[in-house]
Amino acid sequence: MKRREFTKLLGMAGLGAVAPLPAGVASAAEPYSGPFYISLAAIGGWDVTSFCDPKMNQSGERDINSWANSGDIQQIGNIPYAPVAKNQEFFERFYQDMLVINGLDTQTNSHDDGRRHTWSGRIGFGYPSFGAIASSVIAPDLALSLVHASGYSETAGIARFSRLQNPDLIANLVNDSQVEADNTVYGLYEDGELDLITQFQDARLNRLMGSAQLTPRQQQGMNNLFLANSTRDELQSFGDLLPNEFEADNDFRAAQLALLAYQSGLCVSAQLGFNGFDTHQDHDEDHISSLEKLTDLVAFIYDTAEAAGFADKIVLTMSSDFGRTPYYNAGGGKDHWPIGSAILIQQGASWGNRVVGATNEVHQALNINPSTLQIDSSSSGIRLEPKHLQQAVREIAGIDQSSISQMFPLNAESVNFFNSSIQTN
Amino acid sequence: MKSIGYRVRLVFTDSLKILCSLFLCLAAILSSNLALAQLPELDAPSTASGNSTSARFFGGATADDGQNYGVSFAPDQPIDLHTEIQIEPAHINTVGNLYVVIALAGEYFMLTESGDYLPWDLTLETLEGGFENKQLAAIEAITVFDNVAMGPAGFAGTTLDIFFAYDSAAAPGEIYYNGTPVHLSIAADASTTESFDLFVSNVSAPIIQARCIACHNSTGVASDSGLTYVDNTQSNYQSINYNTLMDYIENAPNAASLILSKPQGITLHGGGTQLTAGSNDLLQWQAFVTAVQTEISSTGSGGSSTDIFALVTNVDNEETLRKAAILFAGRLPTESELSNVSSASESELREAIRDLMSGDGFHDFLIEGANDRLLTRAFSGSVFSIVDRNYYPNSSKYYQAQGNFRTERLLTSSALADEPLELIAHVVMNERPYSEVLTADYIMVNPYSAAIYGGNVTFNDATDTEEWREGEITEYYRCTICNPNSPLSSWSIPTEYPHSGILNSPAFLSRFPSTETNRNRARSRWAYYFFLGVDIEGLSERTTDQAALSDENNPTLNNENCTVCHTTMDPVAGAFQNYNDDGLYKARPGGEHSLPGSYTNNPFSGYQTGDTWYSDMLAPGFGDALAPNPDNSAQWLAQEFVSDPRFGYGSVYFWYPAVMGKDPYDLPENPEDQDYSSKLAAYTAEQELIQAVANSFLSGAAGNGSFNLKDVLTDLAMSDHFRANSVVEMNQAQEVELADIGTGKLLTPEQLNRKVTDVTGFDWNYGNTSALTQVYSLVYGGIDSFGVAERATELTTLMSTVVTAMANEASCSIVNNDFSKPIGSRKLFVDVELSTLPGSNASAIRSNIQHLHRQFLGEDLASNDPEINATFDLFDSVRTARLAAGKTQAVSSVSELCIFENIDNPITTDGNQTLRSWAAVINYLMRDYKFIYE
Repeated sequence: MKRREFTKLLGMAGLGAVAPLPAGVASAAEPYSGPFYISLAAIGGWDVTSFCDPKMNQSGERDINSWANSGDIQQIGNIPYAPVAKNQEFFERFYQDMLVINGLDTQTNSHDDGRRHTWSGRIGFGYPSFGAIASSVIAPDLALSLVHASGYSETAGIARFSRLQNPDLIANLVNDSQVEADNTVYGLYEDGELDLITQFQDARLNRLMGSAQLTPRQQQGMNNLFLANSTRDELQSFGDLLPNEFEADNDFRAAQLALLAYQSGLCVSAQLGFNGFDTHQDHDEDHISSLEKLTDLVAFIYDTAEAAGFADKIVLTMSSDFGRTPYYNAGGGKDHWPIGSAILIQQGASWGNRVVGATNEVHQALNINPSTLQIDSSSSGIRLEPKHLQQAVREIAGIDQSSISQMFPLNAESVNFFNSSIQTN
Repeated sequence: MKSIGYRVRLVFTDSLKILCSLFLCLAAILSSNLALAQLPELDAPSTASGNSTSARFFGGATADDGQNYGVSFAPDQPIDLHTEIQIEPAHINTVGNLYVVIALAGEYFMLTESGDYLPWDLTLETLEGGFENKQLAAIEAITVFDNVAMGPAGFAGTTLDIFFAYDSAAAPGEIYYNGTPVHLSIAADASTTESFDLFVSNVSAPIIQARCIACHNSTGVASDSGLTYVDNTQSNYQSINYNTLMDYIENAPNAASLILSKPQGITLHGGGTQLTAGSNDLLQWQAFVTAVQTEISSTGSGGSSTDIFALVTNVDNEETLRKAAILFAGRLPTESELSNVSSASESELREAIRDLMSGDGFHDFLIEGANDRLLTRAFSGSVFSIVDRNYYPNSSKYYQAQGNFRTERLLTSSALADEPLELIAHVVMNERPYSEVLTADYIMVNPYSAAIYGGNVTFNDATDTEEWREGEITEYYRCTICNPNSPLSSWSIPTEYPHSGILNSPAFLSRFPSTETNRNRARSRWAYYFFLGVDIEGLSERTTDQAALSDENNPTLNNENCTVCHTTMDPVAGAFQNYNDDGLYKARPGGEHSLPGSYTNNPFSGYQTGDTWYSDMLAPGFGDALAPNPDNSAQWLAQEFVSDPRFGYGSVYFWYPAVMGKDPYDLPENPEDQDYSSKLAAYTAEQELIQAVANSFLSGAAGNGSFNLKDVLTDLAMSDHFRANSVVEMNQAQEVELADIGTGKLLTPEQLNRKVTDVTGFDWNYGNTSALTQVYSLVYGGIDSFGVAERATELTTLMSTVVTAMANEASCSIVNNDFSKPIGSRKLFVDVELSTLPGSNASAIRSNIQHLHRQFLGEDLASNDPEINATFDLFDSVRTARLAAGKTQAVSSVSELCIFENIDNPITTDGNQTLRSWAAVINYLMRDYKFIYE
């Protein structure tokens, strides 16, 4: 199908008034090749004492971890980890590109609140995810600018997210002017006729959008349709990349599709994740299994990206609703615990191989000095919270000063996360 | 300046003359050398004709003689309002008029030469100039107010929008004006506000002085709560306490929510429960808080909740009926239905909307709306996600079912999953009290689910999946030895299942399962949410200290960080005591209870023989009331729920998204947020609607009895929130207030499918599979009720490919199918045949295009309307191109497939090239905004 003349239409419909583009960012016609921001959610509340903030059992206290009765904390570079699951494989592969943030106080044991707090930086309603902000600031008019599979999905009206579920259907839909039957491909309309229909459709939509009496909801709907019409042909580049076979696991397939969306130049950020961490019963067995899947998924993301030549573009943030109690309940499970962690990964990052933030031996968060990053119980010390995490990822993306970010201020103290010469000891 | 009287609050209700006197002589035309360098420029300079203009408009209000310009002002703050027009160069030195118009509470007032402000009806013919027949200078400046305190003038708590304009003899008939008005928001005056009146009359003595002040005083145990009051021995104590509350609600995080939930004991409150559910004091307290929220919103950038619709025009009766028909009935309204409402009263329109609520379309609306909440269709393909083959032995035949038996199993699982949804549909369609969805002493069964549940129900057709009847679970057997691997296992204890509607529906219990440590709390949470509109997590202040969670002394019972939720949640969890984690009734050996073995076998758990619930949790109950009989505590809970005043609110809250296409707003919690006031105004207006509809629902105000859900749906469809359709000259605050309101909802896959079928008479199917509701449902924003449980309401690029695929694949078939029928039987081509050509009978083609616009888009247009012209041009252009290209007569080919599937007698040749030209028109209409949005 012929490419439509959308460039002119973009100007005609005044799209810039709806989603103003900051200077230097991609336009609809330019494939995006900048950093790819992935948020990976361990949904349900992960046990970081068996992962990146490992804890041994304390004499006279309830057991924190069963594995600590027979094993010891391991360390690679500057990063300690628990000797369970596939942690060794994971940390040995990524430690140099990894910033671990421990002692992250989500201040809640409610899933909804914790999820919202971790991924938006505010415990209250209304703030968008980092992915929504990034896509909105960097390239809001890409066809698949924000891909959402799992986890916190609030966009606060600044972005739309695309769900990529069934690749076979997507492949069909990308070729919306053809059908296949009995191994024969049929056209439904000839290109010239479709072009004519499209021209009339675009002109009609412009007339509708020209009304001075539209409600905000109507404006939004028409803008969405306009943007969809303007970028639909771009999906072809995504469709061209779709392989014949996909990952069998839903969560791996979601990652695979998100990576393909980026590879096609259409995606800025993706929100991935899976359930399985809310282990109120049989914690050891179930949670270890989920941690293995989590690290396998990170490895898969990087393996896939390396094969396609863009692993160095990935900026990955892992976190969860909150942590889990540093003790077991009567059912062998662990319940909700407000203290958790986050991990940032970027190949070649100067800030890798470091840990910022700390907890004590029974996994209670400790205050740190935001400048020196050292444990600081004085009035200068602060407790790390999700607002600091979100401020950090905004800074990495270079969007913390954007007008859209400033619509959702975090009011977070400046923490020296990226000073490669210091870490919390 | 003329002095202003101090009784001008009467302006709004009593006398336009007083309004006029306020503005009399305020507007003064100034010389152009006034120093207005920093006067803000106003966007969107406009003309009456819609043509562009090079004129520029500036305006703003200032309290410091022009050093700063702002929007919000205190009532006692004297302000100036300056405006300035840069006249188009061609109009300088021509004779013209200057106009000033003020929009106030939805009405417009124009400044006249006499200095009076008179009402204006928005027609140019009646518009009078404030300064007439003057020679226009390059810059025309007008000071509308000069040093006026708006509060004493009676404008406290209001917003005003000021427009100004000019015309010129050089351009007769044209008017040039500021498209964006100068917006002015005057804060409420406490001494005259509704909230203060409510405080004095209903709150101060019975609540503050009688209940709160014992702790909430400067030395009391709540002295650090942020809310301390003075007692009635202190002079001016009411104003002091009122201001304390105002300050708290306006500035403390999550204050409005906390101040409502704490006194009820829903959120941690050191003073426990002070205001009980349903009490008059609580109602007064809620009314007061609502009034405060409204007034706070009106003092910010937005308008108050009561006037967010001031600039909005609703769809008329016919359009309202069309949108309601598509929503509730899944079809377009008939011609007679439309004509009946064209000049109908509001009450007649209400009845017409209510009359749409019957038939299959309404049934589909109810099932989909209910499932969007309850999500039981997650198990539509899985019998054993809902029933256990040991406890429900009739289901065992489906275990590892093969071949054709598998089809029957799927029909059965679908019946089991739909059961609670069908209960709702049954209650609503038969206009039974909606409370029956919880209190029903029966379960809905069709022939397939009856085969599992029993119940001695007789069906007319044992294969009819649509034949639903009231039944009972009679084929459920409890166990004596419950280990299926034991040769002694036995499920043989007959059971009289104590039905309590959805609450112990097997599908509901399975969809919201529990665990040994969760102990039915999730079920409690969802029951509160679905039926009382209470989000326990959302209502609670959830900040949790890590040390508090280290508590080993049964924290959910004793630790206030935990009891904040658990005192509300746990008694209701206990009321589900007879249902185990999988939802099975009294599932433990002997069939006496459902407590897990890890509890009953633990010698230290506190379990005693005969217990049916955990001894270390609050007893089964609801609020302060205890369930009197453990055998029927779910039934007792159902009665408690439907007797609770919140059941009305919860029912409206449950159905609000199905009607409005959006979830209700969350309460804005942070006053420092951008657009906080506007968001609060929008939230408050929505809450007022929900509460008002709930009140009518409870009282049966519509005359159809209490708890009639059709009245809820009708009330919502009659509301501004549903009907808002156009708005003039919004400012930024109003854009926020009106976001997501009114027409323009993206149709769901199911709604779009019904619309396509009804409008075109054609089903877009692949064989027996619906393209929209099955194949592409998830891509197009639908849900699978499991992994994807929320609908997408914003069209994405990928979603739009479904629309274009539909248009490309179905349009030719639709045209072919319609033309294959006699003209009297057609839905679309009622004025033309394929032989009707533009050259010989253009009027017939135009007439048919008018019909298509009406059917597809809801547009009633004249034959020469630009939109009709455009569609005609498309038809003609396509046909001309096809003729020029020498297209063959064949309607379908490899390069232009016209799919004949589902068409009885397809047309295969078209020498006039009109069929595919009409197909292009249908393709165009199916892609249209007004087709996929309503």
